Amino acid sequence: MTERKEMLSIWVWVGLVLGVYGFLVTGMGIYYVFRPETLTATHDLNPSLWWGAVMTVTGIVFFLLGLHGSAES
Amino acid sequence: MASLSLGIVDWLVIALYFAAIIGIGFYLKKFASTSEDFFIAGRRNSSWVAGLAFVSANLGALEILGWTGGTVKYGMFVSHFYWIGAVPAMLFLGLYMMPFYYSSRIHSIPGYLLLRFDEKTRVLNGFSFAIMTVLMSGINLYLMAVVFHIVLGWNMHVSIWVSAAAVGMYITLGGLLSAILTEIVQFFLIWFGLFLVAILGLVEVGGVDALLSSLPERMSSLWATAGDPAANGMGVTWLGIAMGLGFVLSFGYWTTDFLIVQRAFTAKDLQSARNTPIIASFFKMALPFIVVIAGLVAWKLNADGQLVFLEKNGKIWYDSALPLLIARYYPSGLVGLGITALLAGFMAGQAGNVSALNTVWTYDIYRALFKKDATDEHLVWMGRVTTIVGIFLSIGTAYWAMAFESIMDYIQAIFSWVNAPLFATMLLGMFWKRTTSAGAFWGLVAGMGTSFFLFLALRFHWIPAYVVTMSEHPSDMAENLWRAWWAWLLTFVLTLLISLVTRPKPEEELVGLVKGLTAEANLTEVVWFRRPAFWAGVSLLTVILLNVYFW
Repeated sequence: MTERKEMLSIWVWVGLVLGVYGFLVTGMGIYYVFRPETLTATHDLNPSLWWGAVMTVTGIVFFLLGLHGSAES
Repeated sequence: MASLSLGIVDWLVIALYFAAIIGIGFYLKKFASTSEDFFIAGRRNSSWVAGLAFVSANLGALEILGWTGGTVKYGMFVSHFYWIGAVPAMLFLGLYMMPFYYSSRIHSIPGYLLLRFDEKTRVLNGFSFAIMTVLMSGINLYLMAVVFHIVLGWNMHVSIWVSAAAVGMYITLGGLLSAILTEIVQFFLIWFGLFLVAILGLVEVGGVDALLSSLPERMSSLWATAGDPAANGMGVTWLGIAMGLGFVLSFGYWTTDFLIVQRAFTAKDLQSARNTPIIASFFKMALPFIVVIAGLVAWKLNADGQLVFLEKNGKIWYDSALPLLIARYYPSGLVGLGITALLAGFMAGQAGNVSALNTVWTYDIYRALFKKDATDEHLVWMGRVTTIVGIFLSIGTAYWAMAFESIMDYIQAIFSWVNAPLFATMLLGMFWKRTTSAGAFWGLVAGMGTSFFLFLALRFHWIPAYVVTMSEHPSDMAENLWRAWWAWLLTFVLTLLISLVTRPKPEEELVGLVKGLTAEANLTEVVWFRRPAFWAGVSLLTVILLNVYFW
């Protein structure tokens, strides 16, 4: 039964996935600042940059909350 | 003629997803050693985890693609499937049915039928559910391969085998734990991967008001055109929506389909189990903000000549709307995320099918009929074997569908053969203690038979369509709604009549299973904002306000 307590909270995984993806997408956004792409209809907004940032922040929040929750239980 | 192309970063995003879910599977293996862990995820989930898994089990990629395409055809009416066609049934499950399901500590819906009625009713439902699940899962596999073939040019055999292998691997390792965990990851991927399409779409067309005011009334209204079937794209009236969709189909699916209800069984206590579908209802009602908005944007861009739908078998393929919008708005990097969201949706749906199948097979067929004295270890072993066999059967069905496309109509109709009658059985069984085992069994047999017969009769014109559907030329959707209605009614009436002339089970055997013989949950100790009834009220009010706002 001690194994149970060691199981990482589900939110840690959610945080990891969102954080890693957010990092990649933000990275592409930064790349597009210097080498703008012009093929998409809303390229002037550079959605990769801010959407990636939102994902990264959400990922970090979930990761930290998850770690905190796992430690508590 | 692929319409989307992937760069290195996109492939990296997709590869990371496969690595993550298989990694999760290996990680969870050591936590899935007992049957409680493997089949019911240890019954330790919070209502948030169970609630997100509940809504994700229903949130397949085909559903998202299909209803985005559906919005292009039917307009705002598609929201009915997310609002009146889902929320009331989910709340009813949480408030009124969950106490009987959860308190009896069953593993599956057929398990409830055994306790409430008898072995033969359970095995009948177990078999029909198992067959339905394998066939549906195979169809999903095939349709997924078709989507990725048309949109990305992927080889269909590779799509089928790679995704099936990944799902087989992580479910064999972690059972329902794996399924639930990946469903939650999928939920977030779908929002982060696809909601941006709707946002950027609204930015391009100038906002919600600009979008709605540019649409014809039949596209932009929810109820205003429901008085006359000719005035709305779906060809139905408000009565058909309220009764056919809102009652029989919706309640039949949300309250008895084991695939989704299984998620609530994993909650850690009764209150969490009751909150599971109630929390899920909020996420369900939010989905039109992806699906319907994307569909309406696609319709407008198409009407303005800026977007041309792809073709499939020489006909316009409306389901291409969402992939085309991804191609329109997403640069490299985000494209990978959008495709991963769809892949995750497909695979989580597949995982849901397989994890429900292995429970029903292991408990309700294998242990019931072949090995009553199976040890816990043996059941987990059987669950793993069933997962692998189930995956191969799905692959077989996928190839069957590839060879004979027309069988898909039959398989998709199975849904209403199994679920609509079962809802009548459950309703009587849970709320009327006089319902007998004989009534339940023969009612169910007759209801399933009727639904199947009506399907064939309408298809081959044995009887005129208006006898069944009250319309000379019903749409497929109308046929489906009416067939479900008649099957439900027949099961209900027959079960009731047979019950009146056969002997019911003694009341002491029904304690905890039937309304009136079960101690009501005492919630006076619980603060008001944690009570299921409070949140169900908030959910109902929200969905009413949404309906009024978009009237």
